[in-house]
Amino acid sequence: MVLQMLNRSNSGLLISFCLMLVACGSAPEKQNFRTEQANKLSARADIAFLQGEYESAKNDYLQALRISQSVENAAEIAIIRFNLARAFHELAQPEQAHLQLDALFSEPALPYPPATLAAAAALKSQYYLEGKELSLALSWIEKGEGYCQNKCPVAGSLLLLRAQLAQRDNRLDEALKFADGAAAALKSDMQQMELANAYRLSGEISMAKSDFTKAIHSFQQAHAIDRKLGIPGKIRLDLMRLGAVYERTGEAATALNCYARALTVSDAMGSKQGVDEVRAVMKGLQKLPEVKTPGSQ
Amino acid sequence: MKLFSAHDSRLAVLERKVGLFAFAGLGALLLVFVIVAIEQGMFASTTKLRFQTNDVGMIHEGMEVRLRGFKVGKLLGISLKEDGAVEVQFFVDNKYLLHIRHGAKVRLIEQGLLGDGVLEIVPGPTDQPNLVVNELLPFERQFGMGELAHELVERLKPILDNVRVTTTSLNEPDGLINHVKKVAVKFEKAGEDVSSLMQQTQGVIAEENLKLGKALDKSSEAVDKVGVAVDKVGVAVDKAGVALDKASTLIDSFHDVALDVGKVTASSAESIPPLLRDGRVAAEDARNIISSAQASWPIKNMMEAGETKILPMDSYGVTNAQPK
Repeated sequence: MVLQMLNRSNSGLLISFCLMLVACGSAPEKQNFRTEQANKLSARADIAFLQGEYESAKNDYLQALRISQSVENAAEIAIIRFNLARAFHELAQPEQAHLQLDALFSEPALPYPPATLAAAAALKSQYYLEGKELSLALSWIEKGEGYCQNKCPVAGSLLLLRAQLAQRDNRLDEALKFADGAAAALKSDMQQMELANAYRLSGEISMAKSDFTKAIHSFQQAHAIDRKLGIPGKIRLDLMRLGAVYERTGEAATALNCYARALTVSDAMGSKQGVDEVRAVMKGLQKLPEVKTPGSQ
Repeated sequence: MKLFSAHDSRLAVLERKVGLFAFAGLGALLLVFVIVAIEQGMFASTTKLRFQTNDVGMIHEGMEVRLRGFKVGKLLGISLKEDGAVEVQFFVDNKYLLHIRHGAKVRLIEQGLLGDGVLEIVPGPTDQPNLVVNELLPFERQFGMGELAHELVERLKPILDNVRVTTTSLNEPDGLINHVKKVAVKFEKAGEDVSSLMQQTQGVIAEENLKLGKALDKSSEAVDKVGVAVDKVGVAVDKAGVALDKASTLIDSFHDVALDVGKVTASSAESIPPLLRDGRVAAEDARNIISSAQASWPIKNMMEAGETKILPMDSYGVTNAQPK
């Protein structure tokens, strides 16, 4: 009987020991010192970037890149080069931005994650689109789609770029389809900024198609997200677009109200150019004979 | 086939011994439970009391109720009344109830900078009748460190304004007198006292990197103003030579200023440094506990190191959105 008891307790001990081993095995692998250091620098750079301190972000990214290169951490190198390109772009150094991205697609190529390569391709496409080099933009979209296979986090952004290209070619139906597809592909919790971009673009295309109800709805959705994210420049842009669509529908007072809000935001941002732009639009609107401003009773 | 125990009679004795050992272990465990229960006051005779507040911040179930530093009870529950008031029930051990009379009140005391609090019973006058079960006691909150610092700044403001007005008068070409020098020395000392207090406070806060930073920045500005004012007094006094009609007014004004600053310095010196000390100790304790936990297995292995993340895509509107 004692032996039976002992056997049972031994089995229990053995099971407990095995469970403990399994639990220990599930603990994540500890990062090495250099990777940790690169991560810290990269995180600091991210914060600096988001606060608009691009020079400081660039310096930290460069340091983080050197460390990651020294340990051949391919995944980190790809991400840091992508982020560094963003910093260079904001610092008005487009060549440097392209150099960082090109490094990911040239030899010696490390095993970079396809999702990051898709993001880098999307970024290159965006820069070419901004530079009005539409054929290059399209080729990089296609390259990005090749890496992404419709399942990576930038799938929505690639659709958004396609929508912009179609919009520029005046293929409005196609553009709207892409923009709405982008809005559906983007995750509402993780990619809010890009989602707001998709709604805004969808609104612009709808306005161009004279579908004002949809345009207003889309701009309002974009505005709500941008307010939630707290991006003054984009809030201003949404208000300007809303003003424009109300102006087109003949609701001049509502349009003027939107412009007035955009003016306040521009002023609060300290953007003289923004203020002048809004004032010019408002002046043009007030010249119309039927306009009634909110305060003019 | 027989069991092995049937062959060896020693195993029968061993079985009894193991059984005895197991019973003794269980008994000891039970005893420990009983002792802990007694320590926790589970068998103590208690009286339920209550108080009402409009803000349940810092109050939580199970928090200690103290009387002159002794733990005398525990918070039982918190409920929201129909009128919106928050009613809090707590119990007090009957053996301490003799010291708590009608007119007693409950005070929430913030312990240190980390913000943990305890309920302290302020006993009523001894000639008052005993409390009855479920009696409603008045409740108040003691100022936390943040409020104390803000109050200090608020109290310094009018004094500093007074200093500014006075020193402006002194700097006027016809406003200088010899007697000012004596008063100014007194004033300067008072200013130094405030400055020293504020620097000490700010030093501790900076060290602990806690919530008073903002409030004390204001204090620091205030202290800088005192410094400027004192400097100006020095310049003015050096220029002093001719006694004028304004002399007595200026002396009175300076005297008031010196008194006010002295009062603030004295009262603040009483209340702030002990609280800061508590806060520092608490913060150090917490830091030690956290760093020990972080360094220990298995938490060390479970701590997720930060990962490099891709910046969120923004493929439309950046250039347009940020007019320079």
